[in-house]
Amino acid sequence: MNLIETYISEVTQRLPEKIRDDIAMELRSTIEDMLPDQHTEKDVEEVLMKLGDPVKLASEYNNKPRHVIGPMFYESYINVLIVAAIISVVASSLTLFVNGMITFEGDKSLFTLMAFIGQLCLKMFLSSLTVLFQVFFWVTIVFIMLERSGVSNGDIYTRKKKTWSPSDLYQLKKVVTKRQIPKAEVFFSLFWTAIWAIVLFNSSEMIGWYEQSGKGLEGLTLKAPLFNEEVLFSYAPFIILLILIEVSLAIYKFFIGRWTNLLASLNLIYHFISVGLLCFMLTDETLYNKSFTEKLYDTFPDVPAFWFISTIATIVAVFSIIDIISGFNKANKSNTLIDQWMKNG
Amino acid sequence: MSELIFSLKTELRRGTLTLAVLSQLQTPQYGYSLAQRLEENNVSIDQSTLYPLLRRLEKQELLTSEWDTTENRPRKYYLLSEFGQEVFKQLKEEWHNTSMQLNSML
Repeated sequence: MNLIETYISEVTQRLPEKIRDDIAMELRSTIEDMLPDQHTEKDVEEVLMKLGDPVKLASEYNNKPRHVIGPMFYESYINVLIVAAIISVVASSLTLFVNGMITFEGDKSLFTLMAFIGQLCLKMFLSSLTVLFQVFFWVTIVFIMLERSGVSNGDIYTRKKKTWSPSDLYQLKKVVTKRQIPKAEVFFSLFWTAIWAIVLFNSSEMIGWYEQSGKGLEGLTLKAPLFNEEVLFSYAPFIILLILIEVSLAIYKFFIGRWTNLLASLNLIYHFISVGLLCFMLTDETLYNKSFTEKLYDTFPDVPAFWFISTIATIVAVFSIIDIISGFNKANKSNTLIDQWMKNG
Repeated sequence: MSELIFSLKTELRRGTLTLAVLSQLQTPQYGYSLAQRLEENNVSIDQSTLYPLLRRLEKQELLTSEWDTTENRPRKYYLLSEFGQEVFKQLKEEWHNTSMQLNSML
């Protein structure tokens, strides 16, 4: 008897609370049904043998997938993993490389240069490893949650409104060529993000008032940085957020590979945030370093600083608007009259 | 080789087990009586597969169940629901068609 109870609890402890009692009761009555009226320990063992491994029985009752990522998501899981891995390795290596090139100091002898490059390569390799590990971890977590959330089980297929027909292919082909986002564009935008981020965060050593005190380029020394470092770094959370948005937008672009209304809307939001932040920062007078402005007015008393700032802001805003419109345009390419006409003709 | 055959056989049989179980539940049956009926008809099904299968079918609303506690041993009886009847009819038809097609080829 004791053996039976142990067996039952071995099964039920692996089951959700609410079905435990019922299954325990059913199992008990089934086991008793299987036993002869006068039974020995050996009979019990035989019956339990027929029911088999309690772990297996419990998993049959649970009927949960016995895999982490099922066939439904496997393909997109692998795709996302590859794309995310490539992008993140390229982005992190590029950032390190550019950063390294900018901060490179010391004499330019071949030996120090080689040593520096070797060190940089090692750094890039190590950071790639960490980044790969991170990517693998997060992508896997997301897909496991997708798998468990029950989005699968055919929902994706049944939710499709129209059934597929070969004529969709003509449509697809046309749309794809018009809306396509070149991969180079994505890499360029990642590169651009890395550049401006590095320049901005190192601006206290790079942008500012230069004076010639010696000969040639090496004589050029930074007298006063343009920005007040403290104020600039108080903006850091917003800037980092902007960088994150920019990078994720680029990754998303790379992954879907073509303009959609969703992408165009995301692009719109991104531009609003970036232009907003830019205008806010440019008009913040405390952001500019006092000694820089003093030097500027000393040298050019009539410099129209405000005009200069508003021109920059306007140019950026105009380019943003153009990009927003072209995004929506590309997303809706297939819906234009000409396309309809071409399809019907 | 034999392992492959075994897994292919299991795969081939998997769908038919549901049909076999549904066919025997025109009258209320409890787990063990159903297992015995299947055994009498030479349908080999692991008991560790049968009982969870019954629960799944009940969850899919093909079966209804009821506990009978009047006897000295409480038993859970399963019976085909109305929906289950309909599904059983269609599956039976499908089985006839499939076996006919296959027989003509084999």
